[in-house]
Amino acid sequence: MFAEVLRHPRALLLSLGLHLVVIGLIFANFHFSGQPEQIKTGQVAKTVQAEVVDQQQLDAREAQKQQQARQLEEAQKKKKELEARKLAAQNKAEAEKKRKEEAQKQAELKRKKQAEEKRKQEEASKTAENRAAEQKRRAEEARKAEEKRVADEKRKAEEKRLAEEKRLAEEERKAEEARIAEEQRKAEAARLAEEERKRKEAEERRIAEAEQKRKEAELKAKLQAEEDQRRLASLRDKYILAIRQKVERNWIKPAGSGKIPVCEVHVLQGPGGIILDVTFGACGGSTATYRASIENAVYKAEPLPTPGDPALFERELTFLFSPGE
Amino acid sequence: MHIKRLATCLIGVLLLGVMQGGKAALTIEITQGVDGALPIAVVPFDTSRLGSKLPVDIAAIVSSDLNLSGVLKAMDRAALPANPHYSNQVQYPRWRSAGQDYLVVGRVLEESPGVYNIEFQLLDVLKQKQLLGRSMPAKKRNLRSRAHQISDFIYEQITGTRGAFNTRIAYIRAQNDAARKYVLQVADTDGFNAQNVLESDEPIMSPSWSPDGKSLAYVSFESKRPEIFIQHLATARRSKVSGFRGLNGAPSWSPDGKFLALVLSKDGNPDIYTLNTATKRLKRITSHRSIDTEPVWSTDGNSIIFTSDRSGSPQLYEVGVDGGRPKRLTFEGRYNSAANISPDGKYIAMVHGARGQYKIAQIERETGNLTVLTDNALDESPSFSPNGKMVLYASGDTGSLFAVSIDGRARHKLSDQAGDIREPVWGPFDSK
Repeated sequence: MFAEVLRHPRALLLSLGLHLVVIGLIFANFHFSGQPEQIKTGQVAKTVQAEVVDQQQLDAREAQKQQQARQLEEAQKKKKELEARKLAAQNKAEAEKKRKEEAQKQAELKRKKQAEEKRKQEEASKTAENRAAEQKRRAEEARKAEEKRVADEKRKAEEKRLAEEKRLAEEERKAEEARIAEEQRKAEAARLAEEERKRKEAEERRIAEAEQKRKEAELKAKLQAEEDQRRLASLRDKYILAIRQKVERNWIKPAGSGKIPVCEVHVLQGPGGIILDVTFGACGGSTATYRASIENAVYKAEPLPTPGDPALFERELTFLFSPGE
Repeated sequence: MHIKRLATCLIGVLLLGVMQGGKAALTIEITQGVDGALPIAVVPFDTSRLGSKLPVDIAAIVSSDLNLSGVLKAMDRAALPANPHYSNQVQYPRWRSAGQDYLVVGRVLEESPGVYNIEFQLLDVLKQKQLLGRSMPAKKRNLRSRAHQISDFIYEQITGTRGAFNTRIAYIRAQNDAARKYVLQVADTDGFNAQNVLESDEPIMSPSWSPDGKSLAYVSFESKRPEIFIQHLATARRSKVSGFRGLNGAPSWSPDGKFLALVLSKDGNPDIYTLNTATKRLKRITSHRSIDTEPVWSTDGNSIIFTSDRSGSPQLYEVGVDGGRPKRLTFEGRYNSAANISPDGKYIAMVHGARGQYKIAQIERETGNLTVLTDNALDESPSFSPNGKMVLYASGDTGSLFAVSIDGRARHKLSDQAGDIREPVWGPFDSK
């Protein structure tokens, strides 16, 4: 019951508010009826007119004043009498009124008691009614609850099914998305691979072309170098022969040369074939005379012949002197 | 690909290195030279400041000496392009143009009458620098000797070998005057300054120098039979060391100067003996029924080389100083005799007879190779110069003195002298 009440707080609050209003109204009624009505007595206020007057006037005025004072006294006496009469009337009305009110009150109580009884009777019948209604309501509620449970279950099952369907759909969607993504990725990869392949092909083609060019250039250079080499070799032979012949023309082989082994002589020459230095290498078993003859031959051949191509010039020459037979 | 290229580069570098052979890029073989002697110009020495004319032409003596060596060839005086006496007067290009490698300039100053100072410089024409400069005192009587000394200085400076120009030779001269006369003479290597050691109406033979150059041993027939004498040159004092019955011949001094090897026939056939000159003790080295003669000592003094016809014709043999079985040294030609050992012991000079001609030849001891040095028909008595570079010999029917370089290329007749000259022997370095 309480749970039921709690479940409907608005009804409770409404009920409470209604009771409070009723109770408040009961109190207010009692209060107003208990408080005698106050009758306000109106004040008579009169303003004094001030005026400037002479002695005569003052005397006259004194006389007048006295007059007035007597008049006033008279008025006041009359007034008091009036008020006394008025008060007596008032009291009489008051008593009358009280008596009427008492009677009215007795009537009211009687009416109220009758209303109470009627209310109780009504209430009793109403309680039975209520109980039946309550039972009916409960049955209804139970039915409704059952319906609701069934509905809930159905709803829940439905929800679950929907959720499952949704989940499956989601999964499917995700799988599809993944598949699409995968396909896209693959497509992208394929595209990139293709691009890379093309790039590589282009690079390889470029390299191959460069290599081809390089080889051609190399071959050309090689042929040129060979040609140069042949030319230089020829000039070199001529150069060597020229030096050889000039040194031999100047070599006087002294007595006792026959048995001397080969003498190695290193000659340092400057530009134009000027001899800068002559040193002996291996020259085993030679005589000073023989070495002198060699040294003199080299010096007498100065300036040494120059080559046909400056590239062939060598600062250092090695002579191999052998006396022959 | 890169590795391949790198490898190619490396091979290239290596090849380049090989081709260049390290540092010297060009290697040139020189085999064809002109056989000859190194040209040297000896300018007549300045004698203009002398009070009297110098009796000796120093430059001429030096030129002659150097020509004799066969190693140097002195320029003909008439061809000299200039006449400098001091090195600072020399214009090298002129001498170079004249084909000279070396130049000698000098002057003779007179300290006091008959007392001289000889100054000279040896200049390298090609390098334009002085190789040698000397100043040497001289007197009238040794001017020739000083000239030979200058030759020795120059020769040694250029050849690296000690010169032997300032040494003496000994030989026998037969004079055909009214009566035949024999003279043992000692002279300078160029034949000048000849001095008589012994004069005799009878033959004188086989002179031999003592190692110290102070004495000569020889055979004299002055008593009508051969006897061996030793004579001190400076004092002319002499002693007979061998007068045995029969033949006393061919004395030869041992390297230490204590022994003579000689030939005696007192015991029958001529055989080789040694004689201790101090103790007179005699020792027989060979004993053979053939003729053993002409003994000479090996340079170490341990063996004796001699001529023997034990094989039927004269050949050279070697035997130890304590005797034993001689070993034959020569096999080429029917006639090999008159051995003379080179100062270094490596060569034996001899008379080599073939086809009726007798020439001077030498054999190399180590190899036995024989080289003929002369091409006359009748050469005899070879004798090495003390530096081993020349061989002195006599030649011809009317014997003249000749010298030949040991490779046979330079042959010079020594100064012409009247008479028949035989058996020349070259004295040691100290023979003066």
